[in-house]
Amino acid sequence: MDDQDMYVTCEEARDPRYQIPACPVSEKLSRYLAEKNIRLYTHQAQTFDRVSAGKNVILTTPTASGKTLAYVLPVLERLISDPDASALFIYPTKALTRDQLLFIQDADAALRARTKPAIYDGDTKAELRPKIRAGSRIILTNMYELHHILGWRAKWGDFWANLSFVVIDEAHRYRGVFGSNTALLLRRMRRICNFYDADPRFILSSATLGNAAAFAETLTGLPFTEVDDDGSPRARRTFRICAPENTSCITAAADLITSQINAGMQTLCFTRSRNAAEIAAVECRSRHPSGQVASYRGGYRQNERKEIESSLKSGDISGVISTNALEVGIDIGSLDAVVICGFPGSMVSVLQQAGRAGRNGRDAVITFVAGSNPLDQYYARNPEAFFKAPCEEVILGPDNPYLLSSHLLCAVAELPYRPERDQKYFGDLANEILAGLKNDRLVSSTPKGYVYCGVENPAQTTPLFGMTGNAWSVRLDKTLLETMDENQAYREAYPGAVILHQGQRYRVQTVDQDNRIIRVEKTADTCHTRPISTTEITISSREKTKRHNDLLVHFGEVMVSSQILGYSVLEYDQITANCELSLPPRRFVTKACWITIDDDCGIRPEALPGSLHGTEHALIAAMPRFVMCDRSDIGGVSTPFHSDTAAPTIFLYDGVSGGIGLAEKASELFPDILTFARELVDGCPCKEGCPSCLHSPKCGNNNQPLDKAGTKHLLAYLETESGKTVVYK
Amino acid sequence: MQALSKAFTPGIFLKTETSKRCPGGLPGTVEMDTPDGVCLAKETVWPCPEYRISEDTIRNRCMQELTLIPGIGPARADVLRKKGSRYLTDLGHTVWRDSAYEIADVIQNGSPSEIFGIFQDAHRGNDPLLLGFSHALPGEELLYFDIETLGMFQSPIILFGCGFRKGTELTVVQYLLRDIEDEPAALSLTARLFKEHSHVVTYNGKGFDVPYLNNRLSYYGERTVHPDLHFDLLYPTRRLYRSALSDCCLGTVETYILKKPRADDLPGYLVPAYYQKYLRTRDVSNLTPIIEHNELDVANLALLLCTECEAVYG
Repeated sequence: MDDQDMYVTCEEARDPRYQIPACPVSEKLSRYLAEKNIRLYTHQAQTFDRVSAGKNVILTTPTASGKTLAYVLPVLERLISDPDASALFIYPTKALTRDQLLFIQDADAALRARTKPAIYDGDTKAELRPKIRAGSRIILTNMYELHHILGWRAKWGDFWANLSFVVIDEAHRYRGVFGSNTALLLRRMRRICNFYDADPRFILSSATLGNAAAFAETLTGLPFTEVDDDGSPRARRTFRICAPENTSCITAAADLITSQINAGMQTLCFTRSRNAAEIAAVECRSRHPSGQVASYRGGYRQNERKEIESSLKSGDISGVISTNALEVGIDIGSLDAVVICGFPGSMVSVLQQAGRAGRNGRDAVITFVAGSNPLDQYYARNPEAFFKAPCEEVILGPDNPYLLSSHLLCAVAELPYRPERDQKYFGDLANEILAGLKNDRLVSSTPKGYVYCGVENPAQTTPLFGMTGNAWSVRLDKTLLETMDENQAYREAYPGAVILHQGQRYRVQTVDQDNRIIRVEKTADTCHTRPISTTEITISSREKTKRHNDLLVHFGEVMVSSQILGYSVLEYDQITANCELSLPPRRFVTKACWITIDDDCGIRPEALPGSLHGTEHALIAAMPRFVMCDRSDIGGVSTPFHSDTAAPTIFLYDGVSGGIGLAEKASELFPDILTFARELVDGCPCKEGCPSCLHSPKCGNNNQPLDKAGTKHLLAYLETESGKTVVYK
Repeated sequence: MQALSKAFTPGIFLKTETSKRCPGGLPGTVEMDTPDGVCLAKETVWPCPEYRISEDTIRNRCMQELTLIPGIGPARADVLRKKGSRYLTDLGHTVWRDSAYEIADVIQNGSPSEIFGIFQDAHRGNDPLLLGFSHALPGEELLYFDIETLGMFQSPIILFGCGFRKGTELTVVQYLLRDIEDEPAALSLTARLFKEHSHVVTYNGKGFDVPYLNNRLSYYGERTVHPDLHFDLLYPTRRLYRSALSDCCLGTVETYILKKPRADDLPGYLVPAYYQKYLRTRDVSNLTPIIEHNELDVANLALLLCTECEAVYG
């Protein structure tokens, strides 16, 4: 593919900007910086100053701008001057935790800070745990572990009492319902620290966000200051957008990687799925000497990943094709080129991925290869929109009563709850919820405050993150090949499926549901497989109907069941066979709101599916700011005929099993959501729908069919039904 | 009796200034008033086995434990013994000379807790040999301890069973919660007993009873307890009797080792169910089996400890 076919834009190189911290730096630290030949960039110096001044800081400079050093320096400086002080570092993935431990250990050793940095998470051996709790002043962990250790105050009391800093890396990952859970979890932790008279400062590092400081304040409940004055040097970067015409985007990406490697450019390619990463790697490998191209994704064994990371850094391999697993701040150095194969779902991710390109003094190339779905295609046709797209805002809803109730129960079990002392963490709603929990006999009001009196550990019974419990293991005879979570196992490891692992194909033999073991054997076939699945929604019970004038919004319990009916065997993107399977459906019960569409809505039958689908997407896009969540927390189904309602129906349901009040709140606020959705669609100048109005990054039907005119009409019709006067355009 | 249905509803029983016969209808209990609130207490007296070992006997026996030295395992110890080295001090001519003398010095002159430390370093912290100290130290310093809970961490301890020697007898004091409001009082009374007695005797208390107690103490922001020596009988029992028993549950051990099978005893796993039923109905007859079960547990701890010491030291 030539450059002429692509949209190209350039970003000029930028020299580094250095700054000396305004507040005094200890002799030890100055010597360390001098020995390592480190001059602080502006953002590093500013972070140092603000943290030293006792401020909570969110750092939003790009990937590879030296964020880790920026937050590690002021923390170590304080831990050296105060030998009792300790710090908690929280990471979103275990791989990142392990990576960062090495950096922190190095800095600790060089500074002789004696903080004994250690990881404390689900993988930490039981016999090491007491030693880490008692001896380590820097503990690295994740939110899941924090959720569980808060209940063990007898063991952690000393650590909380001395906690001076909480560092949250990749904070933008805590969004939507997961983020709201995290916000409440952090309030629980702050309450316990304050009980021990400790008041830790927070340092957050995050991707560039639309609302960084406000987000940090909601996440932690504390005032924040943002540092975004990036002083790190930047190579000249060329952005290109290409839309392959007669090939799939994976093949196009593979071609691109090949030509870049041949030109001596070390290339990192991001794909949207695990399977895509493997297939692209297979295509590239066939054209390069062995060992030059590797695939990388979650699920690989730890040493396998470490090996790829280090050979990428040392330059031993020329190309890596990865899922978003390499989007986080794992230290792999910088590369010459990045290929983004398919829109990763958000501009925040695009910037993170692009940030991997550009090493000192050498030009970097970033190429977005558009997929065939309408969203990618829109960007291919409108490249300016791609570069002008704003960074998404992160919305959190820590006052969601469902989440608040779960976390209050955990909080009460951690430390007696005194309304006068603790209201500042959980707000006014907390008292009302506690009264309800008392009626349910889960808490009891005593002179010591509310105490927990249930019989189960609430941290274990609270379904916090919609996280699926244990990992599934993929085994070849007795050796562990890789691990996957329950969703991945369901989608990718049905009997007969081909699993790709570093270019080798394995066929799934048996799936042991009870022990979560997938047995595979090597296969020499060159095919891969794609599941054929169907998702259905059925109404279990209608709990209430909210009347907004002529528009009825129903709310109730639904069952979403998805079933794998079989799989297609593909060879070179061509389906060569379809195989049937009889697997049990996977069911999940949640809460939904739904509306039915009358016959007289004025939409032609052939336009109905696209209009319903478009309306569903527009409603989902509009919902987050009314119900405070992320759009990925909401699911939707639309159909021209549903057997439970005997009419065209649009369902919007909570993505969390059991429901957490999103659809319920939406049924109350439906007219407002409708208006916002209509404004969104009306206000968008595109003709056929685009990412800012109708396209959904996680649509299960690849954004097809969509009918923008029909959607506009349907939204206006529904708005009129709900009693608002609408000016038809 | 009033129909009471709510779980842990506080304030059902009136507080009193001094201990008085329980008005709740639970025979043998009195109400204990503390600055932290009220709870019920019951006291029973049991015979206490008389058995003494001299500290010298124990120290002498420990001096023969060659495997306390890092680098000496059971096989090498056998070889050394065959060559005539019976005591640590016999290793003066070997490469282990320094650590042998160091360890021997602690065993001969160190405090019991230092000797515990030596055994812990050799990963033998639960060695039956160490039980001997319980019958060498003054018997009044031991606290026999066993709790009943609702099954899960982070739920209250409903009954605290504590036994200690008074003269020639064993006094078992139990603190009982009528609802969760009583827990701080029961905790403070128990913590006081831990202060008055240096050492504790339990069955699986290292893994369960003591950390659970500390978890509850710190839940209320109270100081945790740290006994000087902890004689946890579970591990020595496994070492001594595993081959003879189908399992090492306290019940099995009592039946076959102490020859004291329990009649009509409430199985431990039913304790939460009985207590929950009491909370629902406020029918105290549900508490009696729990109290009796716990009482026997504590009293038998003393018997089992003595039996095991005799088994080790003859």
